[in-house]
Amino acid sequence: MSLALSSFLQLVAIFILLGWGIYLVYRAGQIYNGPVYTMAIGAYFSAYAARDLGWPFGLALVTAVGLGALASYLPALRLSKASAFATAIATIALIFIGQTVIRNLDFLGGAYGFCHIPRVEHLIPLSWIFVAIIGFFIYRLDHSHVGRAMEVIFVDRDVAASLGIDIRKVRLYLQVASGMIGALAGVLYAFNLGTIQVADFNFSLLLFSYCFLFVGGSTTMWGVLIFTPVLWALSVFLPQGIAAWRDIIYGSLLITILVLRPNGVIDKDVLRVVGIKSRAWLGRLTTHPSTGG
Amino acid sequence: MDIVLAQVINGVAVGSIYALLATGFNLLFLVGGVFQFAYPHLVVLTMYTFWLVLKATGDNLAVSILATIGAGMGLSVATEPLFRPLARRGAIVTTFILSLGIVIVFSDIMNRQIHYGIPIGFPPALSGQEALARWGLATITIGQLATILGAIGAVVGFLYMLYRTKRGRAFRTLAQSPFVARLIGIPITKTSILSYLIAGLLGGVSAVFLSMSLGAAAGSLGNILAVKVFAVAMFAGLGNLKGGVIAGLILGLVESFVMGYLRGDWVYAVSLGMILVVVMWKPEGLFSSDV
Repeated sequence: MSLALSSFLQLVAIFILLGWGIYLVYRAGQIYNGPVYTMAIGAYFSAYAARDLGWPFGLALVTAVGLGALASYLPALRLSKASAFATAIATIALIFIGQTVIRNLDFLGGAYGFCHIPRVEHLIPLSWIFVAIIGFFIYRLDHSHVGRAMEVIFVDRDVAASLGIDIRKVRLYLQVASGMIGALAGVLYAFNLGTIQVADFNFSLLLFSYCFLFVGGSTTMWGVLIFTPVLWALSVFLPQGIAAWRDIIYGSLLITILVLRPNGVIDKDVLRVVGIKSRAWLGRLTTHPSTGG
Repeated sequence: MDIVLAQVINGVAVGSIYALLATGFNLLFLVGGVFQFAYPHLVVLTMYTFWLVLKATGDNLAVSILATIGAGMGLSVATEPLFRPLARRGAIVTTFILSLGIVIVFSDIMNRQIHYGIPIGFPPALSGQEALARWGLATITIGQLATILGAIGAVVGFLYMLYRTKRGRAFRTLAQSPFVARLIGIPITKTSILSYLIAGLLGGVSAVFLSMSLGAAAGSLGNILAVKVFAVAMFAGLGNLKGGVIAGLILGLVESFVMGYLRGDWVYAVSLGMILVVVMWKPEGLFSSDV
């Protein structure tokens, strides 16, 4: 497999996980940037545990995800009650605080970064297995009573409260789940790249994740899954002259989509139409002419 | 004691710029109905305009300042049609996401398209480093005094317009209730565009003072300022104009003292940590939202 293709597959998997992390909490009406700071925590912890403490990859991964859960649970105790913007600024603050702390810890490489992270075999297929598992979890969540609660909270918090939905609890669980997904993305990022720097977990990462989520579709999980590879491919497979304008293309796309179609390209209406057409097509395939049906 | 005084002077100078930025930001939130996260990036892009005009006119300050303020107003008004459909629907969270798209575009322009992405430097004479007064080790420079007086003057002028003029009443009515504003015949679109113009004016003035204070600019400055302005607005209470001024000054003072007693890279962490504590303890802000 070529280096460009393997890099593309690695980063697309990580961006899909990040996008889903933001999507989960956004569906409950909050702008949550936790996946980026838990990604930093997951990446640095797992890299340190594997390289310096000699932990096996599996143990490092599980512990990093657990740390990500804790790192998101503690702020979630207050942030689950906060408004969308309060959550946004609080989690942005946590990203920058986390960066400063890591930069000042010499055993994590400080500003120079952390390198010589041990290689793990078959990490690309493993990353995509994780994408499939998380995707399945989110699909089941979206189609459960929790998903319906998220939908109501997103549309009208007062109606959700009057229906007896514990908004704070739903948001707390979603923020913790989002933090765990971010930490997982961090572990995969660290072991895929082999070297990490604190500057990797920055504002640009957040902006790209928002772009993929909101262009693809912020009301369903499929938008992130389909549009992340499409948009990331712009920078990898297009000619250099066009790829150099990548950021302006992303920004312009995001602006255009939000003005024309605020829910993104793939929203619930699109899914409904696709579902109807798929069922009709399958029905035609399975109908036998002799039964006249 | 004079070291403390020096930190206070620095803090007030920087804080007055934050106060000015927060005022423009809150104005757009209240009257325009948008969460314009790209406002500080627009200000930094205006700084680039200042630099370009200075170079083109051979450091002619008067022309450059006028052009900068004009550029700030023009850039701000140019973004209004993008936000209008969302603002009309009250989709304030979506306006935040849209502003992220503008951030991506502006950042790329500053990081790649202007001056090959290399940070720009302003003439040293612009910063006004000559000391005007001295108290032991503490000094106040011409630049600092001009920044403090100019920024506070701009804010006071704006608040005077808001509370003492007919146009200001229209702004406050629109901020309170667009429905009532429409009923009493206030032109919504025109008033909203005017708010963008005034925010752009405040942004242009901020760009001049930032150029004087910092002496340089880079694309990444927009991200740093955006987080600080966002933090100041949340600290005070979204839409609280007077609270935003006080919060801006507080942030400037905290940063100045942290820089004086801790390593430089802790400034950001400590000031944002302070904001984090306030936001988590009182999410509606210290002073709550007020028109």
